[in-house]
Amino acid sequence: MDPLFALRDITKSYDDSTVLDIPHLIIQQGGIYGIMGPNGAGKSTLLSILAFLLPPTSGTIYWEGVDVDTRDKHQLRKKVTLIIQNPYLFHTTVEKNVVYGLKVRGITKAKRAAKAQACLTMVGLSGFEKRMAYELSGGETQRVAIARALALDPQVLLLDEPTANVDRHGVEQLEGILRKLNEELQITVIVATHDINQAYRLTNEVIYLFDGKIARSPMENLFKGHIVKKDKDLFLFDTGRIQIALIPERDHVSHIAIPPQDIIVSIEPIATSARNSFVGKISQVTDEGEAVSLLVDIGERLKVRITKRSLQEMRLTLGSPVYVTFKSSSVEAF
Amino acid sequence: MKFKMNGRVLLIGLAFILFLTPALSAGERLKLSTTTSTENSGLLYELLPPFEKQFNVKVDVISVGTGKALELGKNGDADVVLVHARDLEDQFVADGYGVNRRDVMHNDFVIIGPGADPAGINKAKTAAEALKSIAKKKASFVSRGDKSGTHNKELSIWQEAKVKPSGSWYIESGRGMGEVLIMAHEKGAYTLTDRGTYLAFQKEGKIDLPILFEGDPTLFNPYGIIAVNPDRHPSVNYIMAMALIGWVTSPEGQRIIAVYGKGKYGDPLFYPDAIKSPK
Amino acid sequence: MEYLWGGIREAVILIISLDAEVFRTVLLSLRISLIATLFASIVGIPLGFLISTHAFPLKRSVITFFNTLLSLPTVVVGLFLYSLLSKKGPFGPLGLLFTPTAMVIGQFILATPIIVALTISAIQAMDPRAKMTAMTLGAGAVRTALTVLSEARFALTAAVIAGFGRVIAEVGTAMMVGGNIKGYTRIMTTAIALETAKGEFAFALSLGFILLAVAFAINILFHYFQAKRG
Repeated sequence: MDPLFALRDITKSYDDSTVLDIPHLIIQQGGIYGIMGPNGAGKSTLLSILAFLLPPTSGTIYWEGVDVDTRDKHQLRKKVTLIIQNPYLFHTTVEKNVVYGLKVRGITKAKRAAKAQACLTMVGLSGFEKRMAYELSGGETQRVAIARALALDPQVLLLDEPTANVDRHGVEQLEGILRKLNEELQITVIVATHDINQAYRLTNEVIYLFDGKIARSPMENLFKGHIVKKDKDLFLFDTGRIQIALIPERDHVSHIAIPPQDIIVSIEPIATSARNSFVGKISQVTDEGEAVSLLVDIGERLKVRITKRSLQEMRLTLGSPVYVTFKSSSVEAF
Repeated sequence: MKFKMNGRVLLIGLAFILFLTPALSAGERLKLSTTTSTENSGLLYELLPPFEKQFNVKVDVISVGTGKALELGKNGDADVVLVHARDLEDQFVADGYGVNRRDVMHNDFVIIGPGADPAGINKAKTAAEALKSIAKKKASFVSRGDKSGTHNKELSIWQEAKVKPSGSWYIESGRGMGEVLIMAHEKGAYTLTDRGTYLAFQKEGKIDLPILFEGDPTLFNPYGIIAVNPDRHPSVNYIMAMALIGWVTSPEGQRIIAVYGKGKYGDPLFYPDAIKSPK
Repeated sequence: MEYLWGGIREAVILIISLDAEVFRTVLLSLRISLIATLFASIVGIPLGFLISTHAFPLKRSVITFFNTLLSLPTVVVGLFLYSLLSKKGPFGPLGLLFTPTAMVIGQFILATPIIVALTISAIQAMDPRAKMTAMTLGAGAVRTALTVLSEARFALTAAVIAGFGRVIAEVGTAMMVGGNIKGYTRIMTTAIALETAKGEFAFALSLGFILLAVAFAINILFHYFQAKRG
């Protein structure tokens, strides 16, 4: 099946500066994607291009396999809705905001009312119909904006920093709604965020943007799983294959990452206070210039880095058994 | 929400005002330019309604100074002119701006002033003498100063007295008769005024100045009505203008003029000239 | 002081007794000014909208031009219009001089620049996201324009009220092109001028009170709507 979006050699420039340079990007139907990067990385620009609101300076976008230049952008825009960071709600009731797009399309009043009710319920705001939009909190405003977009039955929902102005409780609520939209309505959701934790919590694939270009994942040794055992000061994270001790700061952990630089490689077990110690076999050796990265299979594949010298001294090759050790405090959890 | 409520109430109120007041334009109209003193006397509001009813026309009374009233006639902005400045009227007709001038009525001018009469004008034999005394004494005198009939009369008397009035005592106001009367009252000054406006103001208590000089024939103030020449301005309502002239010089019209003011002030304000003793 | 108090007392009596002459004058004033303001809004709001949302050469000068017209002396407008409408003038044949229509035209000339200038500032002060949001939700050019105008409705209402306020209280134009004809073109302001000249102090005062009340009401309404724009 053709991917929903396929971007080839997309660039976007203003005067002399190039803000986006993406040779290749695929978005599949039905996924939840995160576009992650620091401010100014080009996330908003990319979203605008995906929403067909901004034309790229060069390159081709394929929608469901077809070059969009051959298609009517106006029609495409109807399938893809972008919700900006500070959504603007019209100076009227919540219901009138939600049905605005429907009114533009000439939908009857009765149908509009029904749709509004359904969409508001979907975002957890049922009963809010007659409230005035300007009375709402940041989180409520975001949800109304989402409901307003939902009313138009979009195929894709793009959100730019949706939880930037929302309090903690609201963040959880919004993320839950996005997940629900994706799972129950099969809407492809693409969220731009600078919050790495959010990216991992919410999405099933993260696109890293740095300086307009797609970057390598800064997160290495990233594993999905859940907490299985809770002691007073130590938690065990189960990836399905191995269990890792960590000191988490939050109750709900869905991902962990272990920085390679915190992992000690040895050919003998070390006596150490570190809680995580595993044995495994080297499954891959990669020359990275100054250092060498190894993939060690301990049930999961762990990436470690050692100097070329250490590699030689320890006489490590493909298949060599090694011990990997790291502290529970090194484990990053989200 | 609140806006909606208030908005609706407001709109209904506005619609009310817009539609319930009488139509802005109705039927035929005749534009009569006249002087402020004529309008102030209130005569026209007795004289015109029967005419309007009989001929199904609305007379628009535009009251300005004599000069302006005649100019409106010259430009064709008025259909008929009623003023009291014989020389200017004759010139108006001679120049071809007006036709069919008729004498309508006359009133007279009087000189009023402060009760103490510092210039002693009540001893004067003629109007010219009276004004001469005022100038000599440098007593305050308020002049119309606006090319009106009253003003012209005043100037002609100064000329007769061979005096050129100037100085801080001589106040050229450039205002209408009523305003000048009030000014004279406020300042305790002399002024020349038509009897009609004077009586009206005096009786209504707006001013309190005695008549100090009257009766000199040079102070008589005849009114003429003139139709604007349709040859000059084909668009003027000539026929209706002639009808109005007919009306004011008819026995009925002249009778209305003869009795006007009697009830209110004891004396009539005007004396009919077209028909001296109308029945 | 007795003169003043006497006048005030009589004026109040005239108002309370719904004196026919007083109220006829008031209604005529309202009628003429409302109609003039209505036309000024129909022309001024779209014009202001178009000017503020389009780029064109000399845009700055045009905006400055309208701002200057805000302080047009009313007698100048009156004089200008008089010369156009007089039988001597180019529009003489229309016979509009000394009619309420002429007054409506004059007040239209006075009110329109206010409404245009305030509409321009209202639209410029508008949140730029409004237009964008309407467009992302599928609104076409006309629908977007209407939405933006609707979003600016409080500021626009204030603009209309300001226009009305200017014309209900002016006397220069009304006097010159209206002629202050009793029962026909005599409105509150010209009547006050005339009646005071005639020494009819009470009548003038009664009109003056009503005019003041109208001015207050206008001011309050204007500020109410200006405040709500936020």
